[in-house]
Amino acid sequence: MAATSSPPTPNRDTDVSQLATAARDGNRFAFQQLVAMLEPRIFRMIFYRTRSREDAEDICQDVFLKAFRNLKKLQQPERFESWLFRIAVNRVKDYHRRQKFRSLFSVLQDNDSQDDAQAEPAAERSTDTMDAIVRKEFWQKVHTMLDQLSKMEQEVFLLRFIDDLVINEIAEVLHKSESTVKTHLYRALGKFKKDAAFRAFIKEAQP
Amino acid sequence: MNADAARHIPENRIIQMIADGGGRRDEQEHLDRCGPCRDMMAALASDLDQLRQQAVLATPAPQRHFVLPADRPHWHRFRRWGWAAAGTALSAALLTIFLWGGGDDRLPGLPPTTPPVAALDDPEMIEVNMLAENALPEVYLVLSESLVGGYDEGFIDFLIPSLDDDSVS
Repeated sequence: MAATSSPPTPNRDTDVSQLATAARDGNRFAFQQLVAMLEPRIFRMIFYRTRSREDAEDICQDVFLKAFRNLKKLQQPERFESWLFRIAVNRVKDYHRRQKFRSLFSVLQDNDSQDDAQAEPAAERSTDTMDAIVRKEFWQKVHTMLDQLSKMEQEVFLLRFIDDLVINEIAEVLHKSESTVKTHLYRALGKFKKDAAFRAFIKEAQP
Repeated sequence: MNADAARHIPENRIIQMIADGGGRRDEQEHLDRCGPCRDMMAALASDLDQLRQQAVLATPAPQRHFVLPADRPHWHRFRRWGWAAAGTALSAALLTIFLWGGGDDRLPGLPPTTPPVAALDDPEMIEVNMLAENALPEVYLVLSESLVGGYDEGFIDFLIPSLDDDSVS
């Protein structure tokens, strides 16, 4: 299949599904467009779970590379986004497994402080100090709230309300039935509703 | 409490409606009429919306972006296997030289090498030559099976598989 076939017209109405079909047929430009469209979302999704910019960048690279190399296996291009999320979820799981393994041998490092203090250049660091503090506090609160949920509840809650997927997409991403997803989601949302302190924090932090 | 209030949508159902992204038609109609139910649902939905927005704001922008790997020509995979084949062939050649030359440090057919006179005169070299020629008493050679000539061809095939048997290709 010619990798240099004519690129699809780059307009806003171009559908992910059409681009995924073109990319699967060997159109590299179509894949680049998919990356441009979906990379910010996938990066955020990974960052929410790793809270390290550098790690999120690495994992994001892996996700798109894996997707690119396995495009031929994509049977339903209309589900490209869910497929990408599934790859990302699995990569994040691998990341946490590795982190857990490493933590057996080293002192656990705080990803937030590592990210804010080391990854950014000194000049940016001084100007963004307040942002970094606010950001860190926000993620600590989110972490505390999520700690009340089981692993599955956390995952469905994040996918539904932070990553903004709908239930059938979550079911595809997690390889679970929709009823299973719903059960966990209702439970997670019930706990969120009862967490008055966190909800008050969200309201106060409103920009 | 009026009749409408008595039929407020239960809290659990509000949660389900938010999670599902909508409710039944009769529930939507009730929400249009019932302030408390609408407020409860709006408050929860608003908090979730805020959470999503703040999560986006609290996420740094990536400094590295995905770069598609360069398009590799079709012969690239053959080149990769070519490297593997060349590596295997080189290993085989080195092993053959090692095994062939291992028993005798001279290639067959070549005249025996004569050490320089100075080397022969050197007492250390004389000792080295003696050790090389009479390294161990024969009993040790028997014990270590070094006297048993020949090599296990199956083992060598295992070490250096033939390219024809390469199941990966």
